[in-house]
Amino acid sequence: MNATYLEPGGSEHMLSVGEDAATQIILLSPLFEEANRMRKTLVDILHGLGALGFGVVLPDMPGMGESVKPIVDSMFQDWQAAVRAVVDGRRARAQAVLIASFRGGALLDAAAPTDGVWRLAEETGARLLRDLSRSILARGQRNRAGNDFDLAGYALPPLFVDDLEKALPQPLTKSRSVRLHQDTNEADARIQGAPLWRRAEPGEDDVLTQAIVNDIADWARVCAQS
Amino acid sequence: MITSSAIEQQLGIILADVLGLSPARAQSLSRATGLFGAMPELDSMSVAGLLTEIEDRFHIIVDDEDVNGDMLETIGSLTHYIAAKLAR
Repeated sequence: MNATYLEPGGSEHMLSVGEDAATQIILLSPLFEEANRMRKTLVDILHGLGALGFGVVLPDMPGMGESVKPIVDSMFQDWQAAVRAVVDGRRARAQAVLIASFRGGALLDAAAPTDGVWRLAEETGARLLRDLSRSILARGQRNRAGNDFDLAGYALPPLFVDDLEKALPQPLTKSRSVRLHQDTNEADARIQGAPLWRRAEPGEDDVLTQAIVNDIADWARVCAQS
Repeated sequence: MITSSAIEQQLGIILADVLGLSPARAQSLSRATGLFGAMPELDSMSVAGLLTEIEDRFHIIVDDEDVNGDMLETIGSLTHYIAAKLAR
């Protein structure tokens, strides 16, 4: 279950099921606070896909989750390198490797070539930063500690902020974009559910989780066959 | 032209979605319901999410300088803000 992967900066934590499965799916979680809010749902998705016979990993990026590295020492490129390392690690043991990315995770899913990408409510770096800076506005404390921007508890180096500001989900030939039904942005499919990544109280939505698992599984089967 | 009560109704749906309010709680929302500082589910992070959802669903831009205690005081004050934005 608990596993590690080696990335250029050292060893990082990931959750892993079904190591020997022919099709491996890498879950890229949302970034920053949204990752905490969706953690339970992502772990449920990992187990749901595992039960369908897929190999699934949920890696922590350097400086996030269980990582011992301070985020202030991380660069956006380090996250891209970490994703490449996870993809390479899966590639060694599988016939097909896919990425399922959530929200800001979609900013990292083109870091390495895969057999297919699935995205939920992909978001631009600029809009994620806006969310973070607004939450500071709402608290009435726009603070700058030293050279690092303290964005809602995440002390991000300025260069990281610059790169994130410019980051966009990349157009990919083999990708499927899924959004919630109330989201009017372009998508290949829409599913019923609430934006759990917005909620202060980490929520659960079993129906939404199952819909996500089924949609990823269908897409993974399509990609693995072609 | 969208009416004030239609905005208020849509705002209730967004709040329920974003904050995960129970159907009973969502039903009890009114113009006078207090928001930031009054509603325990609405922390500073979810205020940011709420504003982004409002932008997406009403197709307006909320200026950072407009984000303050007055605007976020009640459902009524937020409805008023959205109505003014839509009227422009």
